[in-house]
Amino acid sequence: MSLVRYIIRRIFTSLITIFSVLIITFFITRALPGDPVLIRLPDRYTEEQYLKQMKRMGLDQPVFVQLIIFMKDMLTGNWGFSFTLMRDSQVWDLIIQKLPRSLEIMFISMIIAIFFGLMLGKIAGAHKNSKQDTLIRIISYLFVSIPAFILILFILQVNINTPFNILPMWGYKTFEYPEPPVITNFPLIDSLISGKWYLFVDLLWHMIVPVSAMVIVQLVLIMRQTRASMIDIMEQDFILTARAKGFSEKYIRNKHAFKNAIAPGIVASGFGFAVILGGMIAVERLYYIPGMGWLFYDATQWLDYPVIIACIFVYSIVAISFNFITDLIVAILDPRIRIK
Amino acid sequence: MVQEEIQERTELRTTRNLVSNSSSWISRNLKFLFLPKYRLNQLKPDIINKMDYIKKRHNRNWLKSPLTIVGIVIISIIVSIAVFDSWIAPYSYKDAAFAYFIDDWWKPPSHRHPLGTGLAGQDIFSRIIYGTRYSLIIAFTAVSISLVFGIALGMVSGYYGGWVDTFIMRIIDIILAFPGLVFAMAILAIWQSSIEKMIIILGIIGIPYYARLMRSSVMKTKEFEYISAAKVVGASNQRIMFRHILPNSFDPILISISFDIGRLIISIAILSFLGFGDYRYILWGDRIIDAAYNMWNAPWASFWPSAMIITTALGFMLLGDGLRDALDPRYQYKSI
Repeated sequence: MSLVRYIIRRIFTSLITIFSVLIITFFITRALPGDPVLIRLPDRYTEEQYLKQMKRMGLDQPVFVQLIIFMKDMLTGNWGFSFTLMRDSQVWDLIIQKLPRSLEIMFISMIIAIFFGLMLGKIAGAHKNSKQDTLIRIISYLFVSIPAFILILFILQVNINTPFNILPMWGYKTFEYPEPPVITNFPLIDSLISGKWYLFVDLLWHMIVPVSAMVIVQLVLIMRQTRASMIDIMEQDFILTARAKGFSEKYIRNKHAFKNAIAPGIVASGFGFAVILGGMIAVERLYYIPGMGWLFYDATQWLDYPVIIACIFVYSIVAISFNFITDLIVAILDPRIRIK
Repeated sequence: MVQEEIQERTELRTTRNLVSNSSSWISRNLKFLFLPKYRLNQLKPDIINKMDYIKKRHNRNWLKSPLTIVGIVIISIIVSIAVFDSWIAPYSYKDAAFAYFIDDWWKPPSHRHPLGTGLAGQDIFSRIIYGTRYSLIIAFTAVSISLVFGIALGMVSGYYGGWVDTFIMRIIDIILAFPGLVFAMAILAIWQSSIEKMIIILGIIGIPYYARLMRSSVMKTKEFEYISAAKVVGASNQRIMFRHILPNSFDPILISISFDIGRLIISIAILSFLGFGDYRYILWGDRIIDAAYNMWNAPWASFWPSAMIITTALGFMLLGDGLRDALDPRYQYKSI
């Protein structure tokens, strides 16, 4: 029962956050340089035309009404047309087309990072100051301060300077291969559904470099947190009780200590997510993945305001929903969180 | 209790090595000669100030870790590079940033160019030296902006509680849920990126972290008895906040400053890599994308700036770990 209540409360706060995101993006649109009415008018225009266009765009109404209209438009996916990139295409179509490619990489790397981060953190924390622990600590020190795009640079550098040289250098699929058919927009799933398994393998093969870079960046964060909390918990009284009862050390580690040590690591991954989204844009830029980050980057270069605003909104929703999911996982695993 | 501490202290004294022993003997005796009335102080009973003792223990623990020393050395080298950049760099700032050497594009390391040349034939070594100053300036100023506002907000909300607390924390939770770096990119793209705008935006993004940290720390400190004692004496709210609570709840902030500078250096690298830097100034990430296209014929051009980014961020992270070990006894030997 308390879990349901917690989820409802959490959904409510997420909704509040989404509304505040909308309000802030609205004020960003107000503060944009240039006149939005002039963009939609021909070079020579009369006063009457200007006023008519202004009325059609709803700019003659009070700010509060405009805010409501803006919110309604954003929430119903009516995000306008792109100025520069593809003049005829709706922003909604662009984002629906590009977002899944980024989500795929983010999702896969997140799952791998959380899994291995928790595992390595558990091993390091349970065997404090042992050989494995020292090794893991050295790895975490090596990778803690490297942004993802520099990691990709280093991987590619190693790749071209060794005789193997098998990893792909750029792109999300081999250039000559056809695009996967559009079914769900997720290239991996589409290629599987349509039975083009060679495309599926190719997509996976191209994912190795960006995914491993994203994994390492997130893994270190989770690992450090899990190790610290694991050490903290292994010194507590209930572990001593379990030992006194005669449970094996492995059982205590997995069932008693690890279950309590999961939460901080996952929470840490939630906090680091904002930076990871920014890092993902750099990764897509460097590795030529035509996903959301590349769309956003292009829009900022060409000052394509509708795309920029829609991207901010979508990125915020991705971040908020990710935070929501991590909170949910933590609440399911750790009943103490629900009461707070 | 005091007896035990004195005993421990004398034990420590005996374990010092010969060099420091003799040097301290010289300094001890010089004090008697040059400082008037010094011996009078020396003759007072040796009462050990407990806080003083704890501080010394902290310092020793902090320096015990070789990684912390590595961090401090890295930071001091980086800071001295930033200060003396025009003395170290072989080329002038103009040559490194704006000049165009038509014959020197992507040249390997040589006598004239110790780390090779990059785009437009500009010297990589000079570029990474000059870039240090601006990265550090952005990081330090942005941290101080978020520090001032974050501490103020966190202290007010932690000290007063009630609806003030709820109101401030709601706003902060909302800001925390935003993808900060994406917002920074959008804003920098819309309003013509420059160093000043980068500082302001990165500073604002950092405020909620400090506010949360300060709030939890203040709420812990508020419960101590000396705060109620100060209230009973009649101290004003302002005095209690700034004279009693602030110094006693500053430790977690101090730890996170160092981590945050490391984090900011990475954020600045990402921003400048994507072209949201400042065309007037050199930042480390500026030319990495051009160098990445020339990875086959000029690997040095992308390697050295990224090595500089990593080293600087690593230095601050190591210092942060060391500070945490020294100041937060709960984390001793636990942090990675």
